[in-house]
Amino acid sequence: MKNLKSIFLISLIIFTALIHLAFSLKFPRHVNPEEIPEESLLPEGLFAFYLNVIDLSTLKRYDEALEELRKTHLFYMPENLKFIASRFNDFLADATNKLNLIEYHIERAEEFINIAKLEAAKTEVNEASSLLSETEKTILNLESSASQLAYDLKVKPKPLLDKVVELKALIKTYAKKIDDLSKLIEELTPSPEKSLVKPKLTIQASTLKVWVGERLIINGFLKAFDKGLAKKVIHVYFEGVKIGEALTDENGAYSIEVQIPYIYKPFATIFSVFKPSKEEVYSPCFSNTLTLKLLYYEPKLFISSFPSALPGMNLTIYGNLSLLDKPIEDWKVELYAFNESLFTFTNKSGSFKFEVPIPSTISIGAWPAVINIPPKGKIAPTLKFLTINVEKIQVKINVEASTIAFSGSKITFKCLISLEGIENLTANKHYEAWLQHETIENLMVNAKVGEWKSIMQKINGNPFNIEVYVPLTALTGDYIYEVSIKPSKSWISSASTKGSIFILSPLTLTMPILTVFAAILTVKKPKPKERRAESPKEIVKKVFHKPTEGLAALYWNAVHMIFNWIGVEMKDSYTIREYLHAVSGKLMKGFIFFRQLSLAYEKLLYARWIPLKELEKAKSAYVKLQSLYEKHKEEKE
Amino acid sequence: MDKRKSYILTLAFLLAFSTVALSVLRETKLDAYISVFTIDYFIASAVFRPRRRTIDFVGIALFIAFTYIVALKVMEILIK
Repeated sequence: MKNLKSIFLISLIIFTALIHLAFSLKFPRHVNPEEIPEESLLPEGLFAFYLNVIDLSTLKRYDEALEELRKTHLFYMPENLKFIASRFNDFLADATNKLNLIEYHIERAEEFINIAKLEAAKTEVNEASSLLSETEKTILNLESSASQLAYDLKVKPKPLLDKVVELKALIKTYAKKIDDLSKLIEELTPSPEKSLVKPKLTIQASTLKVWVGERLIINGFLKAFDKGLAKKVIHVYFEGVKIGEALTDENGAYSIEVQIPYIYKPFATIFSVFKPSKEEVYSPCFSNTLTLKLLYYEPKLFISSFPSALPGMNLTIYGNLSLLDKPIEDWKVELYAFNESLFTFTNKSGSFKFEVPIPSTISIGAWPAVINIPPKGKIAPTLKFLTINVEKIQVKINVEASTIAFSGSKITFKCLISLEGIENLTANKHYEAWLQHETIENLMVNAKVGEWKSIMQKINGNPFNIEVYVPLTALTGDYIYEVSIKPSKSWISSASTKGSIFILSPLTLTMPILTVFAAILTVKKPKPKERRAESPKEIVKKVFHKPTEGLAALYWNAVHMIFNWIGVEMKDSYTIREYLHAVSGKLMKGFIFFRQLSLAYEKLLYARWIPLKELEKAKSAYVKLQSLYEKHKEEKE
Repeated sequence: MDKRKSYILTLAFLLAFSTVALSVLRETKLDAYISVFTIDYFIASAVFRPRRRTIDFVGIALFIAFTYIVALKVMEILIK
């Protein structure tokens, strides 16, 4: 037992020394790449980006939208989102590109109509029409893809679907425009059925510079074979839209006073058309096209620079409207931002102010906005595109934790929260007032070690502690801890910090020691059979009480005596001769007697008979052996 | 030393060594420990062939646990 203790203590010391050395080493472990969490700006950033792109498309700023979409190949995209994001991106790029082409073909068709090239205009309209039907299909795919993208990004799909609805509305306006153009072309196209006389139609204007909304006198002639055609109806078109009709006199001359529509573009075309009835022998004809310079006032819109917007707060935008350096008073100003339409009126000094409510759920990023000055009379409309940067006040959390801990205990994290970049905001008048008293209270603090979590509502006090209980079942290893905060105010960002902590499990420390110790104890402890053999008193008693039982009893009594004498055990596996050999060197004088007894006993066991003389000798040998043992015992005592 | 003692000691050292090795490697999954213990047990049993009085209940239990763990892993791979 003494040996056992010392072995155990030495083993324990060696084990502790080795395990300390081993734990100080960090063996590189294989990490499954699929299990590594990917970090990116997603999902909020990507979602806001696509909303912005669709906004640009609905504002018909297709080139800018396509330019933005081209940037997506620079984005880092997590593996699980790659497919759906690229699918959505492709559909959006396709739809934007087609809408751009539709716009181009419609413009071209209008230009061709203006110069009476009806065939070319028809081709353009057909092209636009076929693109429109393709775009409708693309938008349907975009809609389903938007739902899938929102699902994968784990955000609500509504904002994205609302934007897709806006795109659908845009398609409807294009469809109507294409329909109108088709009707106009059909109206103007002459019937090819019979050979007709082609008359000549001219047009003139009293002036080529005209104010919008003012009246203009248009006149001209309709002649065939240099002879004026009387009582024929002449239709006058301004920018492809009919603005009046006149009847020719007996000389084929016509005259009409038209009002110039309120169209605010530098130049406009005007032409006249003769559309004969089916019974007449004349073919329809166009006049020459007059290009008019349109005169109107262009107001000057000035928007003051404004700070970044904070979700859940109002953003104030100041502006000023003037015309020829004089303020325009009581003029309507419209603002479109965040799916909301607001309006206000200019004051005496031409200034206006918008309090734009920023939705609390909006993602951070750049959001487009438009300020529109509607036209009125000779004053043209003005449009200004703005970009509102939505930001959140960044919160930083510093966490202090011990690098090593035991499972079955509580791990305490000391946390310190600080606001970042608040100086920039407080420097701005908009936020100065309320940011002065801004504190970091009412935060939801979440601490996680491995799979064990702890949540607390932090009311006040900075720094503060949060504890996570790691149960005893946690095995030894490096665990990732994460402390995250979620503020109740929408303009403050969430923050989290991660780290690693080494948790030592008492189970994995003690288990090896206990296992080995238990094994050693089990090995040292004799088997039940052996234990029975070791209780000699009982056997001896039997032998001494029944000495006449025979040679076998004498032999085994002698074996027990020898075991007590010299400590050599008769194992189960030993034969009589093996045991005799085992005791040969140690029994000294007694060996000769024990040999006589053993051989006689062997003969008794295996031979058919044994001489009585030999049996008697064996018995006397036992007696002598016994007397030697008694003598030895006395000496020992 | 007889076979039984060698078996007990070898198994104890194998289990102890496996625990220390897995701990040092920062293994935090219980299934890894159970799998390695099962392998240790069957290796020691196969080498020393200890005499048994009854059915090897420990071996059966470890084998069932090991099969369950492997089945879960296979399912994980197949479902992915």
